[in-house]
Amino acid sequence: GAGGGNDIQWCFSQVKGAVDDDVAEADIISTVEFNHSGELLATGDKGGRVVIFQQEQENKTQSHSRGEYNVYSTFQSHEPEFDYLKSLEIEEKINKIRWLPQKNAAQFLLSTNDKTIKLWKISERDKRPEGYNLKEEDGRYRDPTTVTTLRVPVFRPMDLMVEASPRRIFANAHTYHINSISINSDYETYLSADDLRINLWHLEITDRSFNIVDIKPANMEELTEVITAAEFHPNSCNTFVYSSSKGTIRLCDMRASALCDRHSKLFEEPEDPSNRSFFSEIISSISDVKFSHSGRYMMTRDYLSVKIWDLNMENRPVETYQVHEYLRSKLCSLYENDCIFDKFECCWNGSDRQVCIVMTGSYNNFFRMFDRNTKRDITLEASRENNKPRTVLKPRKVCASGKRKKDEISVDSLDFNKKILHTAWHPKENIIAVATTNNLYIFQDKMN
Amino acid sequence: MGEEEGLPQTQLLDTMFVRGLKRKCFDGEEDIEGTLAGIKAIPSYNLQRQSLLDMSLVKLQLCHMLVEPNLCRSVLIANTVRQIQEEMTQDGIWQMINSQSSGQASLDRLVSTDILCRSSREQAEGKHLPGCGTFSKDFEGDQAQGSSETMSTTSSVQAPRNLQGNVWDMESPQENKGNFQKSLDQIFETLENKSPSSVEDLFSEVDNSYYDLDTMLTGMMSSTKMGHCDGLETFSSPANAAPNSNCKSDLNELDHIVEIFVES
Repeated sequence: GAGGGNDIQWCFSQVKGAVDDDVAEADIISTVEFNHSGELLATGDKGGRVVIFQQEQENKTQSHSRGEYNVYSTFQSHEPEFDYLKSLEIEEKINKIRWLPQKNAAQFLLSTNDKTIKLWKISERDKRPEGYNLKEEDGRYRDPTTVTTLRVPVFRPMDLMVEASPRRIFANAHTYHINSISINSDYETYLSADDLRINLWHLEITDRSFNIVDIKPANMEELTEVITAAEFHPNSCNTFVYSSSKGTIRLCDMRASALCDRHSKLFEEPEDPSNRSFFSEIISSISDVKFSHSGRYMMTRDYLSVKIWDLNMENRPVETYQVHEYLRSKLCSLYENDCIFDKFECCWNGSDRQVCIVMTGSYNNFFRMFDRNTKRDITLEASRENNKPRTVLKPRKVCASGKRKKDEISVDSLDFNKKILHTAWHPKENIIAVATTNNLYIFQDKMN
Repeated sequence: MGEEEGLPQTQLLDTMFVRGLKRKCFDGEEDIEGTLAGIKAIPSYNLQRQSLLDMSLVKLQLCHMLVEPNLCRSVLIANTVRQIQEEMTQDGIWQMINSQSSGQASLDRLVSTDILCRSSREQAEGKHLPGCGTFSKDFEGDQAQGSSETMSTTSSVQAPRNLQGNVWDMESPQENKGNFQKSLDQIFETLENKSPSSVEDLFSEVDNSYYDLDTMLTGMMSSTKMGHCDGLETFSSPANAAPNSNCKSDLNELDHIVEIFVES
């Protein structure tokens, strides 16, 4: 995986979050998402908070680095709730954030926990009105009899204030835990998916949603498969896909019927009989599905691999990339400590037509990139050590078996508590955001 | 996980579940000592499969906490349990007890297959298998002890009942399958209704020490080793109650769990 030619050279840029090893549970990052321009970067955490970073305007004189990301807005999106009927807590953890494309001065995003989706408006205020006739500057009302002249209030500049306000709350539509939200290409509707159902919403309407997929069996005893992720097609507003815990992806067309019970296409790779074990099903469970920018391909992530599918070919993926095949012999241990249920996400690079790279996380704070054109891959580490700005990141290698070379790490030394589940790629530039447990790393392409 | 050295107790289990590895088929005509040495090196497939089953059942129990359990995880674990149960049904579930008691998986399987084919009269006479020598005597000795000590648990009671020539192949697999299905159903019903109290009722009889996976797994490992030692020791001196009873008390707890799920 060494560089050369057009390979990107990744450098450390910034890291956000607490330094100490003792991680507060509320600070655990649960989602990362760039907005459509890449100027804003949002994170959600287990404590129900959303933190938005804004990229500084590029300094024309400092051509060696792109703008840094600084905190723009922080707000409490979701609070913990208690379901009295079931006697269970509803976590405030933010499962997903999705940005709407910008239509006016304000920014809008959808954030969701297990049960409720909220539309947030993030707006700037950099001026305030002064000179009211009936109110003092501190807000106290003036005695009208003391008013002798009238004036027109004027706007005066003030320190920038960023306000987040909830504009819509989409609640009470999900019995099970929401795992995905996806905004349609019409920018008017969006879908939300839980373990057994997918609902379609209109962004303006909160008191009802349409159920478009329902895989709940009549008898819950017969339940053997759940929905794990769902996404709208980037261009075709009636098409969406959803993945399952059995490693299948179904593509549905909403024009076919109101309830998309029958898929238009079913994507499934036949099982390799030589790899069969009691864990085969678990590791085939898809944790994330993402369409390519063109919409011609989609990518899925299961426990050990990333697969690229051509929408025109249902019976097998066109490419398969092994993320950490060395874990295959450790599946029983990973089952015991529950790591086998970790849900890794994946993402495509920005919309650069020349380059096609996919990225996903692994353990030991490693993350992996696969170049679809060159077929080269690289393993990098998100770590505060040895990370100086503008120093190219050193590739990492895991030694699966046999003699460990210098600088290699043996499988048994991997830290399975340090997992990178969430990564995001800037929509236009080679800037990536990688979330470790409670820190957000930003890496950039080395500019010459 | 990072503080510990790699992956502890389940390393042995990992070797069994490496790609494509299925149960090893021991040829009964092999040298007995050679077979024993082979078993000592790697715990029997049945034992490992049983460990996985027990681990899975504990995981399903531990699901029921304050927050609603993760349905995807529960479904995947339940499917794993079903897979194991189906395979065990094909093998014959009662072997599970016998293979644990002596750790002599290969011979057990031979014995069980043979017993299944024998008439009830022959079984009552306790006829030895040709070529098994003293080991079958030890096995039957263990079994007799096992039967008497664990008579309270129905799973071991099932074993003698089956030995009496029930049509095991037709009846019990389905019956047990049904019982397993029922217990899994109960888990899903509780997931749906989400009333923790009923779940607690379901598992109230479970001994809390069972929750300690480490104890369970290491306990199983040591009882296996003791089983091997027993085999060798009883070769020279028939009576050796102490390690056996230790072994049996671990089995008691496990049988108890199995009983809840199989019989409930």
